[in-house]
Amino acid sequence: MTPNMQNGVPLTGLVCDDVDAVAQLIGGQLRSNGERFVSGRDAFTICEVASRLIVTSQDIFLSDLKRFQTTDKPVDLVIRRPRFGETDSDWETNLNLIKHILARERRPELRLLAVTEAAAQEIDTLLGFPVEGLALLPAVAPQTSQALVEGRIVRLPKTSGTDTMPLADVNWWRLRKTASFTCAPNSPLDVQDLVAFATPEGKPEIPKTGQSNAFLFVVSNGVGLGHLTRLLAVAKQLKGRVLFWSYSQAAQLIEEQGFPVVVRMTAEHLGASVDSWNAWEAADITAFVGENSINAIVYDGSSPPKGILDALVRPELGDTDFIWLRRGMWHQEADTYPLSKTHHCSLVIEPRDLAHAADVGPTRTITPAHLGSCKFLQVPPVVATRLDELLSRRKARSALNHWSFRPLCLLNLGGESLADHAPLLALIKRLAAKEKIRFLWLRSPFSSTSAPATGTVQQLRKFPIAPLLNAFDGIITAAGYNSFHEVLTLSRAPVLFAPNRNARLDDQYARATFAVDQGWAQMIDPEDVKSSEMQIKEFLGLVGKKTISRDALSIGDGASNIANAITDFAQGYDGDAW
Amino acid sequence: MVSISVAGARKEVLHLTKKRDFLGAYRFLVSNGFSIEVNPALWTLLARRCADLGATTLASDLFRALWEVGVVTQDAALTLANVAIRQDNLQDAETMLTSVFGDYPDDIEARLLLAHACADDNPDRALELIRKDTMRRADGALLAVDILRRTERLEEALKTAERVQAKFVDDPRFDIRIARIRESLSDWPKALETWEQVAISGGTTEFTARSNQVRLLLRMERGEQAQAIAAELLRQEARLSEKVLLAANLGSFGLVTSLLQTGFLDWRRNPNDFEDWTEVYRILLDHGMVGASVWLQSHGVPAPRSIKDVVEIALSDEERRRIGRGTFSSAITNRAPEMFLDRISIDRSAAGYRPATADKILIINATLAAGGAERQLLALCTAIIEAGYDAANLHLGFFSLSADRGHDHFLNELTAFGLNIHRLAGFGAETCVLSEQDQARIALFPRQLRSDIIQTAGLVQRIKPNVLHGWQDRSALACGWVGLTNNVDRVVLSARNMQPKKRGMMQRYAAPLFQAFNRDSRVRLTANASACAKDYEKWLGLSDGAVQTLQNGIRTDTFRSVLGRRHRNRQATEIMIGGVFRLAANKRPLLWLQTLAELRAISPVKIKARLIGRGPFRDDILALAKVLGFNDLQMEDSLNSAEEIYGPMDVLLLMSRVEGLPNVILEAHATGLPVAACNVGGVAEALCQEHPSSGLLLPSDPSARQAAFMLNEWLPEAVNGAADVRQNFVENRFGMAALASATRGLYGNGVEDS
Repeated sequence: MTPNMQNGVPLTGLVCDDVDAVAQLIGGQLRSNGERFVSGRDAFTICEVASRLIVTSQDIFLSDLKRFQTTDKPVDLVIRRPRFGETDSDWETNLNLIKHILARERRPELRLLAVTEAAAQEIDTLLGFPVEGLALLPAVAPQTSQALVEGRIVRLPKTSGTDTMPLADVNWWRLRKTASFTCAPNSPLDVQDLVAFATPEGKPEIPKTGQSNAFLFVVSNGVGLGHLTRLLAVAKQLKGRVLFWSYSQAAQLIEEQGFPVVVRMTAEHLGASVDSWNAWEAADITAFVGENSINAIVYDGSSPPKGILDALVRPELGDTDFIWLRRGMWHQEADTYPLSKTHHCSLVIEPRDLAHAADVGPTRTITPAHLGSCKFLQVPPVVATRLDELLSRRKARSALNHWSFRPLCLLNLGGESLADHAPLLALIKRLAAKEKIRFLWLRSPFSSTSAPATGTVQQLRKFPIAPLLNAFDGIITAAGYNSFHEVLTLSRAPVLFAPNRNARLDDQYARATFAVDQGWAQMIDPEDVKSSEMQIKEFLGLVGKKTISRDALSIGDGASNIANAITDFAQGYDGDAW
Repeated sequence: MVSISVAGARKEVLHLTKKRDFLGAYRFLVSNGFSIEVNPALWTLLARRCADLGATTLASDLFRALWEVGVVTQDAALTLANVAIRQDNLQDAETMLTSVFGDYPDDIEARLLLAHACADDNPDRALELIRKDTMRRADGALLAVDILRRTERLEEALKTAERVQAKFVDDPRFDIRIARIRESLSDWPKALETWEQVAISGGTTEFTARSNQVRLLLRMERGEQAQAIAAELLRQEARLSEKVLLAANLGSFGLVTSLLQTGFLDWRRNPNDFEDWTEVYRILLDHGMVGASVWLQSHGVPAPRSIKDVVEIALSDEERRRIGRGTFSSAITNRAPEMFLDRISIDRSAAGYRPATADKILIINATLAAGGAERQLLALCTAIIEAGYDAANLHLGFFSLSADRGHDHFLNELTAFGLNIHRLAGFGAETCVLSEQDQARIALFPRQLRSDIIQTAGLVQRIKPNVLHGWQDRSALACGWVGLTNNVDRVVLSARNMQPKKRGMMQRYAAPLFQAFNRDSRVRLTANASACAKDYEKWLGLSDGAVQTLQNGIRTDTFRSVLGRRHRNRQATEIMIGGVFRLAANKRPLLWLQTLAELRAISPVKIKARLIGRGPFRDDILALAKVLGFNDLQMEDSLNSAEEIYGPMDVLLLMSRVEGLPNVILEAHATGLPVAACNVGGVAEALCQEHPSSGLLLPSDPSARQAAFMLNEWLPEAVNGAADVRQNFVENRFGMAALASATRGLYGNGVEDS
């Protein structure tokens, strides 16, 4: 970044607290005027890069007085009226300090501002120096909701009941696109000012949203490749520029699919403290989103990283929505903490599960304490490969170098860190040898271990495997979301589920049980090898002799639905549509 | 193994310790066979290097090892004692020094250290150790001054400091001591001058001196002047700790927070000023800013071991993680004692509970200074003892009874009752039993509350009272905490004025503490006027009647005798209007004088003025008197007898901005005087209004002219009104019998039964 300029445009520096409604609103205004800015609490760094400064409170100004008084850049100081937790006498003290400072030395480049005209008049009188109100924000329409600021909570009336969110998690610029603000009586004057500033009276204007149609897909560092698989399926359907922000080792797979990817390291990878890592992530993603005018961050994973959620209240992300692709079927006993992050999202999209009827997990039963303005959408299950993308049996077998007429089975035991597969592998190897059936054991492309599987059970590293499913005469697979839906909807071969009981959130056992109850497949308990022997024998007896018709499982195109939803959502805020 | 010479080893130890590789040096000596018994000099060298470079724990361990094998030289003993004193291991230091140098060392250095080590437990011995030759050294003289200060021998401390200061004119530490002692003696104008001297002498102490001026000016209620100095200081380059302390003194929490954030960002760029951060952590601790401290620690800002230890014991891992992971803005909202309120075991089950007996009563107050609240404490003791309560079971504890500070004004009168007086200063952490975690939590409380609670707990655990009574806000906060955590049967918490916020004395934690205490059925909140009770209820968000009224009491016979003499002296051609109040902003002394000046201009009779009291506005009053041509204003610092005070007056005028139930009105009425006073706090309750001539209720915030007009209308009637109406009013409503009866209701039957 060239000092004071960004892409040839003068750069404004917003010196503000971590969460600052005024900065969020000024940031949105700058962005809608086509101006570039950076924000943060670090006045030193911002002074280095910006050509003018906006300091959003007198506390910040006083705490770094020398810097703001000696810089040769123009400084706008926004003087606030009493804020939460600030007593009138605290406020008066700080105002008097400013008064004494200005009386001694008033730099011509220092402009005094207040959030509203009313505040400006009061402060002007007390200070004895001219104070202007901030330039009015454009009014927005349609605002279909009303946000009531009450203490440190914002209440958003929905059609039934009221949803809330902590004030500290609100990005006022984003929320004002759909809601007009009010506040409880006796709110601190600063809150009253913010409400008036955020909800100006006047002719409504249609809000300008991001113009770039760019989306940032965040890939979590999950156990398998399920999150990535779903995101890739959606990315391919999305009209717009998709960039990936990947904590997974699968960056190479993303690049192979033709998407730019920013490779990120987790705190664990780096051996860093989680707190520091979150702060770095927040700073980096803020800068990245600002530079790339990202319309929406789309995350698929079990728990959105705190660093990203923290970034959502930065002024740079006021026009950026956070969309969480969150499948259901969580264990009943699963940690429900991730659900408490729901209110940070603009939209939660749940790709349905074929076993939806058996879902009794927290995503069904728990209502988080805060839902904020989050909208919810269910779409058909996501299967990354369409039927017309399946290779023919001959081509698929050829792709797998299987030239014989011997029956071929797929063995996919899922996340390898979750369970010890050795006993089950040994059993399958023994039984398959007896039946003269060849097994290809699907390993993660990133698996570092090479198990001693030879003879009838050979290793296969292939991503994605779904287009090759026609090659197989039988499938033994874990019951993760993607494998489950791929084998049931793309293959006619007999399926034996070996659900992984150790998955942290995913209730594979319930999913597999449901499939058995529907007559779609059989299942074993992979941890109880002894009692599984008969079932495996029975399954092997079907291999190559029987095909299963699961035509009823025509599930629609979830990925395409998600892509459309994201596009619609990011392009407009017609709240009624949601 | 290659043989290494002692000289070579010495060089290596110096080399490794220079790199702060203390353990490396330790391993080097061990692995090369330099045993402590054979080569004590090398080990002493390592220990000294550790001590000098701040590795005090290792230094202490090494010295202990040297000590145990009996190879400690005098030189090493001095270093070891120094380390021990720095680590607050005073007993160790004393043992070490006396065993090597004897009880009265000839070595000056040893004598000074020994004086340091025993200063707390035996200050007289410490002073004896600092003989004449030791006083010639600046550090010796300073220690002597400090010991005198700590033992509240302030006049002697001041004289000593002033005497030796002449010898060390370039050493600002003496002026700093002098300024602080003058503050303690309430000689604020002179303290301010001394701070000015320190400031203009330049050097590194200028910021500190100015910052102390700010603090002092705020105490003197000269906010404008304080803020002007503070604004100038903020423009200067200074250490973070200095600016944070300045902001804390200004009472600006927002500025403290913002300075910390700026300081943290600077530190991340240039992480090297550990000493400054140590001081910052100490300031945070003294202001109960636990969340800020935890957040900074979790973000890698090094904290002193002692603070880290306390935080780790007081807060669970989960609590620390939660604070550390949030934003700084959310972290700073975690403040002590508010964050530990759930640790008080609130007993709601005992609704309507009354203690069967009040076998032992303990009343705690800050001091016995010559104030209205203290006078009322004397009245209460008088009332219940006269009502039959056994004085032997009545205990009073005071945070200070310093004669030099005038904190013992009523001591003789109370002692004469035969009740038990306790100086709380003698009760430290070692005198009370607390769990390690409770001790750590209290250590995180703001400094004064922390010390008040520890001292009160020490006395409560020794006396085991059935009734614990905190007499004013400060002692009430300590008594609430101690009473509930020590299962005292009845805890009475009294207010003697309007809510602290209105007096500009707001402690942010006061309201949440009172609210929490009030949830316990053993607690009774009281105020001395119904207006004050309502004001506290409003401040604390409590229901009507939650704060009971325990009105002031007065022995009227002392004052009745003044009446006859006054009538003999009064001249009809002039009216003497008196004021008896502290010369502080809340009492509006300037408005008082301006009102009299206005009155003088319109009154047909000559108006004379007599003002009795001390306080920071004395010079301002004298200056205003000059401007107003009030050259015959009589001013008295303090007078003891009712006759001296009220005898020469015809009318008492009180123009306070905020009041509780003013004793001075009761006393003036008891002598038969009419009173005019602004309608604030409990004034309307204290003022006799049974006849228009008895009392004039002025508006709460009148202009001088308005008040003067009202007074002018009222005075002719007032000076000729019946004195006995006023006297009877006070006797009936505020007599000792009424006070004893009300106290019985609060304390339980024991008072009555006795």
